[in-house]
Amino acid sequence: MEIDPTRERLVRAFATEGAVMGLVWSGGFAAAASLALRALVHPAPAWTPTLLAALPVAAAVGALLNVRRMPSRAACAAMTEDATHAGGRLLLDGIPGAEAWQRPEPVAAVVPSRARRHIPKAIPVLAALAFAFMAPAEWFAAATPPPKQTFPDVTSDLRNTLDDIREEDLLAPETVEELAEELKRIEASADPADPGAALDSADRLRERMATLLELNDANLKRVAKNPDALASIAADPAAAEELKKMLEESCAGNCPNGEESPGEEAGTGEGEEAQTGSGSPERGRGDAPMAWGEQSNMDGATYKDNSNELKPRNGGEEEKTGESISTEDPTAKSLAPRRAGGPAPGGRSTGRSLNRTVSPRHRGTVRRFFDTERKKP
Amino acid sequence: MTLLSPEEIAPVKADLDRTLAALDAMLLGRPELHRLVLAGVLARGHILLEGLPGLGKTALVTALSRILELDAKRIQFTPDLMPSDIVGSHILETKNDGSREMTFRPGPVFCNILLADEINRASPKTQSALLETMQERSVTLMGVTRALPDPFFVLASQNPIELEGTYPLPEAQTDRFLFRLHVSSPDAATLTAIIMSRSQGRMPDPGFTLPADALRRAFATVERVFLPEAVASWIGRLVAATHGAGRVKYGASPRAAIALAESARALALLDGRPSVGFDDVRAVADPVLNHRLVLDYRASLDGVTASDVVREVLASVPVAGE
Repeated sequence: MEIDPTRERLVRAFATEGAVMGLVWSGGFAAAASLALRALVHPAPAWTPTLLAALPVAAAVGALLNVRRMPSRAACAAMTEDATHAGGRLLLDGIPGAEAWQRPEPVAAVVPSRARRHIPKAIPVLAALAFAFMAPAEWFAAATPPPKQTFPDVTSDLRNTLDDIREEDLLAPETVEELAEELKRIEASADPADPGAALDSADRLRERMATLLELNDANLKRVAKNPDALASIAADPAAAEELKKMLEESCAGNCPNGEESPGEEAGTGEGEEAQTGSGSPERGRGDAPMAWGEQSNMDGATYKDNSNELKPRNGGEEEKTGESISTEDPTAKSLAPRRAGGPAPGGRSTGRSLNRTVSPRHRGTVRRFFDTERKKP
Repeated sequence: MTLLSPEEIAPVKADLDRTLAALDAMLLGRPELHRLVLAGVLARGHILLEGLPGLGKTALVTALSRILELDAKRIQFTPDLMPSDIVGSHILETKNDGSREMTFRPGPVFCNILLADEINRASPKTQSALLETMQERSVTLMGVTRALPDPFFVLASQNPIELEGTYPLPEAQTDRFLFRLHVSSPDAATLTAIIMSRSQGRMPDPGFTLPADALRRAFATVERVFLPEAVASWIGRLVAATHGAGRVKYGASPRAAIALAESARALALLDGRPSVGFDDVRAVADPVLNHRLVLDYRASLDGVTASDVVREVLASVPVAGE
C-alpha cells in the first residue's frame, strides 16, 4: 500500500512517544515510591533493582497503548497525499473514473517526533529517580522507625550474657567455654538473608543458659543428691549431663540435703506468684511482640509445673525433689522494674544465689525493653 | 459522482492557460496575482484588490473584462454616491401616448464585471447597496427583484493609505468578497519592461479572448472538480480553528469555508487536476481568510496581521485529523 511507509513512521513515532511517556510516569512513580519507602520503612533502597526493572516494562506497555491511538488509515492517506503534493490524486480510492488519472509516486510523510515534547517532563523525573536511589541512607534514617531486632542483636545479647556469667563466675569455666563455642558456631553458621535457623539455635542456647543459671542456684543444691531425677526432666541430654556435672561441682558433697535455705520460705512474701527464672521476655524472636493466651494446663508438656513434696522417702534415707524448670506463664510482675543487681521482686527466693545473681537474660530483656523509643517511660 | 476525465479537463485547461497568458501579456510581472484573480472568477467570487495608487488595480479589471469579453462597468465611488447610482432607480417617464408611469432605470450594477473603484470612499449607506447584489446577485427595488446578468463579479479596489474621508467596509460586506488580494509593487525588471514596452502606459490589445460559452464550460467544470473528504475536513477544521486562534476577536464564517473549497477547486482546475489537494487550500487560505478575521487590540499592539494568524492556523491544524 502506498500509505504503508507513512504508517510505519507513525507507528514508530507513537511507540516512541508511548515508551517515553511510560518511562516518565513509571519513573516518577518509582521515585515517589522509593522516597516514601526510604522515609517510612527502610532508609536503604533495597528495592532498587525491582523498581528499575519495572521501568522498561512500563515503557513497553506505554508504547503498546500509545500505538493504539495512532491515526486511522484515512488520516495516513491524507498525510501521504500532503507529503506527495499529489493534488488530491492519492485520495481518489473508490471514485469512479479515478483509474484514468496517473497517480504520482507516494512519498512517506514526515512524522514529527512526538516524544520530544515529553523530554522536559523527563528531566525532573530522572533527577528525582537519581535522588531517590542515590541519596545516602543517613538522610532518611532520622525519619525511619528503628529496625526490628536482627540476628546480630540477638547474638550480641547472648555474648553479653556470657560476659556477665564470666564476670560473676556463675557457671563453671568449662561450661562457659562450651557455651561460648556454641555461640561462635551459631554466629558462623548464621545466614543474614535467612536468620531463622540461627535464631532458633540462639533461642535454644538462651534457654540452655537460663537453665544452667537457674539450676546453678542454691536450690539446686537441694536436689544434688538426686541428679538423675533432674536429668530425667531435662530436655537436652547434653544439658542434663552438664547440669549433673555442675551440681556435683557446686555442691561438692556439702549440700544441706533437704535443709531449707534460710530465706527460701521467707522470700519476698510473694512466693505464690513466684517466677521460676525462666525469664519473661515480652518480645519474641526478632523482637516481635508476644501475645499470651489462656494459661495452658500443661497437658502433654514434658515439664510439669509441680514439685514433689519435700519429705523423707524410704525412711528418710534420701530426699527427692522434683524441682523442675517452670513453664509458668510470665506475668507483668516479671517486667516490673527492680533494683539493679537485686532480687527479682516476684521471684521465688533462692537465697544466696538470687542475691548474687541478676539474671543476665533479664538484664538484656529489660535493656531491650527500655531501649526502644516507644517503651521509654 | 464521476471524476472528471483527462479529456474533459484538457480543453478547459487550455482555454484557461491562454487566458492567463493573455493577462500576463497585458499586465507584466504579476502572474501569481493573475492566477488568483482567474481562480476567483472561476469560483464566481467577488474580489477586493487592495494596493497603493498606480499599481494597476483598475488596469487589471479592465484587462480581465476585455479578455473575457464580458460587459464591464466602472463606478467611481465617491462620498456623495447614492445607492440609486449603483443599483438604479425608478423614474417617471412619459410614454408615446402621453401617459406617465414609473419606469425602472437600471444602474451600472447590471453588468458582468463591476469595477467598484475606491470602494471605501462611498458612505456605508451606499456600500450597503452592494450587499444583496454581491450575495444574491439580484437587485430589489420597490418590491421587485431583478436578477443580475450571469456571470456577475464585483472587482473592487481600495487604497490602504489616505484613509481620511473614507469609510472602512463593514464586516458584512468584506465577508462577501471571495478574495482580498494585495497588489504589490512590481520589481525593477518589471518596471523596466513596462517602460520599454508601453507607450503612455497603455495596455496592448489582448491576443486572446475567452468566448462566453467557454467560460460557462469552465464554470461547469469547476463544479465537478472532486473535493476529497480529507481535504474538506481540513478546511472545516481550519475555519473552526480561526475562532480559537490567539488575538482573534471573531473568526471566519461558514462562507469562508465555502469560499476556501470553491477557490481550491478553481486552482485545481487551473492546474489541470480533477481533485483538490491540500496545497490548493494552502494557496488560497490567506486571500480567503485575511479579510474575514477580526483581530483584537492585542494584535494591533503586537503588530500581528490577519495573514500572520492565517499562517499560524495553517501550521497548527494537521491535515490528518478527526
